[in-house]
Amino acid sequence: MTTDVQGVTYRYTHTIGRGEEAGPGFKNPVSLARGADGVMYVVNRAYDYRADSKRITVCTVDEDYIGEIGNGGRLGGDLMDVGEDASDGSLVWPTSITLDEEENLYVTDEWLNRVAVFSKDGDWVGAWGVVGDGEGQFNQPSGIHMDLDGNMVLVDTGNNRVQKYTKDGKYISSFGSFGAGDGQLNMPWGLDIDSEGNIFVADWRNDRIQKFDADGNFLMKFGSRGTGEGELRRPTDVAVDSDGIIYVADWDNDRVQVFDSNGMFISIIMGDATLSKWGVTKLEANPDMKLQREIAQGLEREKFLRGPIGIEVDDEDRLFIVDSQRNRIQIYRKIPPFFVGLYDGARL
Amino acid sequence: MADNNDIMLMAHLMRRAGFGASYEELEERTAKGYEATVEELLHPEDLPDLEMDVMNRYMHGWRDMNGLMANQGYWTYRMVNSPRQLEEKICLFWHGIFCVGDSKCMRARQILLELNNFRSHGLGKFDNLLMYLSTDPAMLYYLDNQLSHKDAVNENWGRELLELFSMGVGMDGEANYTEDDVKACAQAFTGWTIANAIPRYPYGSYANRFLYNKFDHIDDDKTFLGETGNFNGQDIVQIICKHPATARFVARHLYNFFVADEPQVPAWQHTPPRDMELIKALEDEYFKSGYEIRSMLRVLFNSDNFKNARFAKVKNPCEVVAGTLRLTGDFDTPKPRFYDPALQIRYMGQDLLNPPTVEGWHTGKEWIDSGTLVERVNFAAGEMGRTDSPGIKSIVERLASRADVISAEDLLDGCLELLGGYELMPETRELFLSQALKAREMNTGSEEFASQVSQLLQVIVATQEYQFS
Repeated sequence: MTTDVQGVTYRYTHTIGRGEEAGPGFKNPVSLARGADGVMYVVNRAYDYRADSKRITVCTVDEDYIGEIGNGGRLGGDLMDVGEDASDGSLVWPTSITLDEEENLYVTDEWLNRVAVFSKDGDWVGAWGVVGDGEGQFNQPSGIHMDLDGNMVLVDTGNNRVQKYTKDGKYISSFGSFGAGDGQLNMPWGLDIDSEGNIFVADWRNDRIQKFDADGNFLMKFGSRGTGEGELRRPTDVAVDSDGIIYVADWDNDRVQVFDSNGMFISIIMGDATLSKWGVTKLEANPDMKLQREIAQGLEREKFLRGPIGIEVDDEDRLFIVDSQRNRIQIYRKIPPFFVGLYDGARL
Repeated sequence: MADNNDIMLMAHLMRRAGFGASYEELEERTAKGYEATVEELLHPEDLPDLEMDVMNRYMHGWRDMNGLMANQGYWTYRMVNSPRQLEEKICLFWHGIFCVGDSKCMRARQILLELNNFRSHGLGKFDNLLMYLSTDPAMLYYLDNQLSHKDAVNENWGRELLELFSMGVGMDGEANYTEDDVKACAQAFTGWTIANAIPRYPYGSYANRFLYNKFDHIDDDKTFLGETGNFNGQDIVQIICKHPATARFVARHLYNFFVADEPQVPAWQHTPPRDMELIKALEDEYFKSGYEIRSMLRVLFNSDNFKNARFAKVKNPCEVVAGTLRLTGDFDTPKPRFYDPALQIRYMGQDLLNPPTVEGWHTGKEWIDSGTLVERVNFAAGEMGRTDSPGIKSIVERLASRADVISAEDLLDGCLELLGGYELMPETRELFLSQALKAREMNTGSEEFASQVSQLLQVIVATQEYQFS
């Protein structure tokens, strides 16, 4: 006799971040990438009138601050003037980040229409991209992820397609067109690639997720507009774990939804945020604020996700939700529904 | 084909009930009819609201609602692009009367939520609106009612409710209320307070909540405007709303904002309305309709007094900026400098969500000084110089379609008409023809025609005539 394992559960572990225009903290984070040794690279979109806040924060999963990468409007412009500066290191509308094997950073910029490349130490490597709608061109690149062959797959939002490039920007292929049919896209945003090389795309304005094989052939879709279970409102990003479980940042519903590998609804995560380490230090440095918080009413609202934009799963099946409008990342660990070890021989 | 006078009347209506309109829109509305357009404007709830998803995707601060500049940009976008034009105009109207400022509240999100109430209820019954206002956390904080306790009454809210939000200090030379009425009003609103708010750091602002604390309310008889009873705040609102001074107050404000400039509010006790006939009609409608603003505006917009009041008002900065952008027609696609127009409104003296005092902005000629005039001219002329904008392209194409060769006079008249029926003073007109245009003819098919039109538009919007609505 066999028993099918049903469902999957998640345990909230902790929150990283606080609202900051610079230093330890985030400002409208939109995407993150996991490096080695617990390092995280978090892209901060920030407000356009605080160009100096547009940066990549480097920190660890344990919330140790390491530094910042990128220079927002700081090169060639006023701190308060984002301009349209395309000089080395500039980030105007940074949207998504991925890493290659050497842990170089690839950051899409929807305004500058380029993929900016930094070393993991923050040195400017270069940028590639030609704006347009022809072959090898893109318009408003958003989601980006390295595939199993070490190439870069990116979402070409303005042209409603997905494109594949080498790491140094040589065009390989593309798929997708505007529409609502199978394989068609409407202002797509984030994407992920599973262990078999399949490509999952957050088909933003069609309120659904689509799955393609590595060559761009349509495989499946799920989701439709709504607020119920399994329904989506403007999904921004998607992540797939080692078991094929699919996580969707259901942005306009302020939640994350979990689906099985067939796109069947499993559960909803609304958020469980607690005070982060950086949040604690902020309050300890501001006794008045600490007191305000202690007597505040409705503090339970603080735990909920607000406009989650990015979502990532790491090798340990930990879930990282980029809780954009709360300037933080909420982290969960998947709890297996069956025994996975750690039995030490003692009596049960 | 619509009569030109009808189109110009429609331009007048749209400048006042909205933020102006392109010539194409004016033609469409004129074909629909004046009264039908008034009805459409009066019922914004029947029109689709703006879809905000794409803007929110790129303008991250707009969904946050936590930053003053972001919220100013958001509102500017709505003024320019909302099909519900009167909804945004009435929101601006009440924002200029029921003032709450970010300089004190430091919670831009809370003020934006207040504006949502003005959008939803600003055309409804005045007593309902005052109740929303009396329970609005931003207002209660701004006027210190959370500090008003039964054993230590703070009269700030109670006084301003009477003086600046509903009755005014006096009418026809007489005072509308006494100091004792102020005290009774403040006592009735004891216990009307707000919850302790979640501080802005580390995770940003949350909406605050109104609370009624019955244990901190003066539960005793009060005498207010000649009536005695154990009044609470809602009783005070009802007594206020049935008072003739309130009808006058609302009517004068509507007149000042939508018809013609009046003296500033503090002068109203001793300065009679400039158009008593229309004010009387509005007062009558106030009572007849059960205090409904929509009904009063219906009377106002359909009156000859309104129709004959073209260019009787100095534009406020929002009208200058949003009106100009509605003419150029390309403030609808997100870009990094999208907050610039909102800053222009600020530079011209109207810092949205942050009025200078509880008295609000002084209007009419007080909008204009040597600094703000230069800001107005530079902004409008800059926009008219953008020959790639859809609105300027459309004006050029319309003029070109009229004749192969156009005289200076016809070109000037055409530009004035297509901007919305502006009229130049004779000496200004003569100056244009003799100096700027040098009375020559222009080939509408030439390469330089677009820039010739653009330059003429730039000079027109630099005139004092363009500053009037």
